[in-house]
Amino acid sequence: MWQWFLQLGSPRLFYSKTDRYLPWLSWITVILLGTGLAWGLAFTPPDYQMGENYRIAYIHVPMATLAMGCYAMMACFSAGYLIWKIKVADMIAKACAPIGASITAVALATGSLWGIPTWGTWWIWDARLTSTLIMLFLYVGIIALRSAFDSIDSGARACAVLSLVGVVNLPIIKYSVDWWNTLHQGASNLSLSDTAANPPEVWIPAFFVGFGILGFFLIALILRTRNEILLRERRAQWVSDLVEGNQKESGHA
Amino acid sequence: MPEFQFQSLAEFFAMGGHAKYVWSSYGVFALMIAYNLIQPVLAKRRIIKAQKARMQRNSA
Amino acid sequence: MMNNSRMGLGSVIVATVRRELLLAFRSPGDVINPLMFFIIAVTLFPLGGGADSAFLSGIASGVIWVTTLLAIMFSMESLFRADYEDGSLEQLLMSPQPLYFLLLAKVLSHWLIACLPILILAPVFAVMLAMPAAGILPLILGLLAGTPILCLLGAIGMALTVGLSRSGLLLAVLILPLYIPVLVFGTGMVSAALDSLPYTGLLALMGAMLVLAICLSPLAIAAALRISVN
Repeated sequence: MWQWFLQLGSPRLFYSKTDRYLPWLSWITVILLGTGLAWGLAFTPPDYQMGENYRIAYIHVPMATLAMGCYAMMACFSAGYLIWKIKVADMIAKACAPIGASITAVALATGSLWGIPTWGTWWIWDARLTSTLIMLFLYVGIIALRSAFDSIDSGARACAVLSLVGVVNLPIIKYSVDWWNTLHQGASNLSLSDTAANPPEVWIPAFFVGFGILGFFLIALILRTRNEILLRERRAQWVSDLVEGNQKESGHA
Repeated sequence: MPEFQFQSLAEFFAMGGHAKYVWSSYGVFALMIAYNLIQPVLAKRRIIKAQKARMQRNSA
Repeated sequence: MMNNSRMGLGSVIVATVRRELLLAFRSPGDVINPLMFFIIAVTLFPLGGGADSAFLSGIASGVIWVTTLLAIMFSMESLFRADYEDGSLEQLLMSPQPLYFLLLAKVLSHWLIACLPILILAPVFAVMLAMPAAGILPLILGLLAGTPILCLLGAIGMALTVGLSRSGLLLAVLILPLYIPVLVFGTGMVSAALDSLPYTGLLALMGAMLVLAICLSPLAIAAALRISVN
């Protein structure tokens, strides 16, 4: 296990190993997402309060969870990079930022679309919407900081420091926004994520979609990380061999 | 066993009057997935193309 | 400056603060500009939103807090920029004294230079914005506990961006999201007091955040400076 983990720390081995994992991961993801979405959209009974509209929750809730999870993951890899100087860890952290930002944007968009019929307006300063918006700001900050540096190494270390600062602040920000929200409008009790109240025919498809989205996230992360590896290791012999191999393949086709 | 919850396909697309919201949510979601999968594939092609050009320059 | 490694910790901090204050008085812009920004920006709100006192008293604490926060953010430039350009930042990092306390002393002197004048003028502007008298004390207490946090967080952002040629707006994108808890609890204290609710709990929370910021942020500032200087 530890051996496997260490091997992923080498850019070349990360590349060749993920080559083998990607097809499997893709199939599992397609099956999970396909069944889960079809089930959630067409085969679960409508909510007695919100009608068909609650079907948005099948994507909204996992997106909102993943928005936070991706940030935590980015911070972990940043710490890994700062402490052990593992270059792949930084490449993964770099890949996390744009994916996390787009996931957060979708969580916001689906949240507002859900809000129109439920709250009667597309945006309210609800605690969750607000903290998701702040989450998006944090991602944008990381991306902006990375792109401001010319040197890959300085940019990587600066982003690692910033994401660690962000992850320390995140619980405080979330707590403050929750507190602010109860002060200004009283807690909104229209929360869909309390699964305790939901029957199995609602949460089983949610489970499928959730893991499907996790699979998609991993695929996107791996693809971006592989590109980053190719770019940074372009002077290595194995990358040249790989490109030549590619050339032959396209020559045959 | 779960059953199809709608009387007809047309009703399924109407989503009980919430069609706009439900389908645009799923649309945004699909766009995000497509972007996150297509962007790296295109980027990889670009990287390999640049790499080939560099290798040809070096061997020439 | 402080090349005597046998100097006590207390005298190092005093010496750093004294040097920073001396430098600030030689270029008084560092003291005056944040203050002028605060005064002008606060003045813009009644001009833009109307001078109706009911409206003004509703937004008074928010306006003062947001403007203070922006003034601090813009003032951050003077914390490390000059030192970075003349190389004394490098010397600071190589100094035999514990960097942690040197950085705390630097941030403390920045707070004295840039924030204290704003703090002194804030009640005047609170009254001008028709804030009821009950809100003034929690506003000042909140600013007193909150502005050092803002300086410490701002110093992290400034340390990260000091090596970049144009960092002004990038700094805003990086640190304004981190300022949100201070803003929320600071304005919350005033609202609580105006609703005649106790606000000491919030003040304690702000104090806890200050302690956390004092403990952790010098570490982040040091790490960030090492990246920027190298």
